[in-house]
Amino acid sequence: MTLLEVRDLHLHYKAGDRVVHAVDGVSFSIEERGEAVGIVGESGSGKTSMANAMMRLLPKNVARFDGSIQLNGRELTTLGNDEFRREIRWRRIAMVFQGAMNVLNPVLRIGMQVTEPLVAAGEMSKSEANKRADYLLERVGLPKEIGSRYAHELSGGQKQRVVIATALVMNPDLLILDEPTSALDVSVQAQIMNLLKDLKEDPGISMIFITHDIGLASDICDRLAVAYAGQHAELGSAERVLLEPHHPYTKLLLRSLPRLHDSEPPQSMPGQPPDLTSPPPGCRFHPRCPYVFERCLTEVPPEYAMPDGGHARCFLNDPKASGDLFEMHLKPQLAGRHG
Amino acid sequence: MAEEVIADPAGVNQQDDQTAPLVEVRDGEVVFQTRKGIFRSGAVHALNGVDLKIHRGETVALVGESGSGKTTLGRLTLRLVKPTAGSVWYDGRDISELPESELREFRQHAQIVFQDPFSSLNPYMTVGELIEEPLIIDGIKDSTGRRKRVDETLEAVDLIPADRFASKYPGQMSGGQRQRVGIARALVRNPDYIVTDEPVSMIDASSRIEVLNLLDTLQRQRRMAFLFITHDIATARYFADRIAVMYAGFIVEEGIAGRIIDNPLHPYTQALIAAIPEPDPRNRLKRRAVVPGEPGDTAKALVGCPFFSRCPMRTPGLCDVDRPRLIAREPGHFVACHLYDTGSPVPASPLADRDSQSRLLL
Repeated sequence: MTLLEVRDLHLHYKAGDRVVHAVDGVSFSIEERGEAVGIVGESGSGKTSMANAMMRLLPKNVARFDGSIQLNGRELTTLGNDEFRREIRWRRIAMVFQGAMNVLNPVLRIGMQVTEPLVAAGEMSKSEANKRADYLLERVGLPKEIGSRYAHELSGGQKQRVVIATALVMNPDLLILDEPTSALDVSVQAQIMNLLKDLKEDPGISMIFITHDIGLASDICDRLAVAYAGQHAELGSAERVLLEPHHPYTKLLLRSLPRLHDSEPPQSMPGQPPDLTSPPPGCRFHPRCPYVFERCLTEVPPEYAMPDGGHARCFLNDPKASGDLFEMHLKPQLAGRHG
Repeated sequence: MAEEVIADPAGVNQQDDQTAPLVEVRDGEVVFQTRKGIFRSGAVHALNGVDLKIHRGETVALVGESGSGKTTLGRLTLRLVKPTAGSVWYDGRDISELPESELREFRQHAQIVFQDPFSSLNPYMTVGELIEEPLIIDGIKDSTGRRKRVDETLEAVDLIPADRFASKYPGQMSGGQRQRVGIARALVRNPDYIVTDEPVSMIDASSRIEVLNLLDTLQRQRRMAFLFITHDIATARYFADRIAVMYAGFIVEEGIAGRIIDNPLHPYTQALIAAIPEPDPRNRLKRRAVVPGEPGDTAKALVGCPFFSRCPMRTPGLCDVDRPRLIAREPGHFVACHLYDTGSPVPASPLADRDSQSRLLL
């Protein structure tokens, strides 16, 4: 069953007399019970804006917000703010914000912080809340005693576990994680990723995993969306996107990463990501694309469907084009860089 | 708190040097005094008896997690901090105790590129002014000559056409371009030695390789000595000749870059490499082998191995009482670990084998 279905989502901001096209026609879905979808992109690709739209945490300068977001078939965009807050936010969809571990309340004991929303909503007595806090802390791999400590007594990894416990307090079906390990050392990052894998399996929380690091995304995500300039350049199974990318941006991004056990040096990608107040006409990647041809300059590529249920926004995948452009340009060389 | 200085007997840590190193740290120790309140004070042992050599035309990467001492060691080689014990040498001269007045001359030859190109450049100065500033500080009076060097340096860092970039402000440039300005500021003095501290960690993935390739080209063309400080060991493989892995203020392993990554000997290096997720759809089907705990607490002066409390291969009674020395295990490959004391076969580490790095869930 589909848990979340997003269709043609747009989120634009006013910035002076200009408009930032942060999310510009994004569609994807997430299955129930433990599917993880990664949204991978560089800064300014619109990935965090997309997450904020899911949580309806929108700033005042929104110029355009439309499209459809359905949770178990229920349209969320038409819900009133009160209804959304009462029934959806934290209860069905929870989020771990980037850098949240650094904004834990310094004067509130950890146990209180974890269950604060429940007590505030008047849903639990203090003793019930304490029990719930103990349970959640244990669930994220922390000893119970942590509940009576303060944030400054915790290490970075412990704080991030607390933030995850806080997001789980209402038993959400969907957890959005925005760069959940970016402030952590790599050995601690691996511990947190193992915890997220546990939660994905049991109780089977579905996840949107937002990161700039496609390697990290592959550590947990079943499907990957590659975000570029407010759109998803490519979406598909982790296998297909990583091993047989159908968008030149994905291909170049993968080639630009230094690999541990590979003697082939990383290749640089030309150019810069575009300014989202004036994205390029035609394909948004065309100024940087080594395979660019005339059509890309003026015509916006549609989302060409892929057999894995995903898509690629690139004319090289046009089935009506003459010759197999994908074969010519994008198909991975034998024994590519994988494995 | 007892302060301990571990001596590394002469010769133990020596490589087969054909030439004298340009930069050398001998048994370098740095202790920072901290205040933990009004009456209590503490000490952070940021560096503990570290030896490091960098030759002309060589790039050495210092790899480690936060608090490992890599930035302190980099700053020590530039004499931005003073050694608490041990000594720092540059071009055959002991600079450990040089007064500021004499350091000024040294610093024309030794430069640093900072991590953050967004905060390390004055937003009210043009790119041209930013790059010219070091020359003015050096007392070069000829303004036409200064401008010429600014233009040449802009071209060297691929900010072309130079005159167009010289009149821009940092705010009008991308992260990658700003970092080129940071590099140009270091380069304009024609240094022989550059420390780059996480030079690309604030830059978008797609621009990183360009900046690293630029540094690599400049280093080769000018035969500079480079110290490349990074938390990213995969990047170090491509942009360094040698890698020194640091943990809690110690160098725990050092050697030729490819060897360190393909055949890591120290359990910490093995853990560091095993923890890195490379793009691979099979990753999600397994748990990653991890070491428990978090990087070492440098507030304590350690007796034994700094990695003891997290190490899956430790021998209690040995590793927690006797600090292992950095010794050569094979030519050009040094490790500080008791597993390699005797030369007898080393038991397989749960972290070392690439294929069994993770427990399959299927």
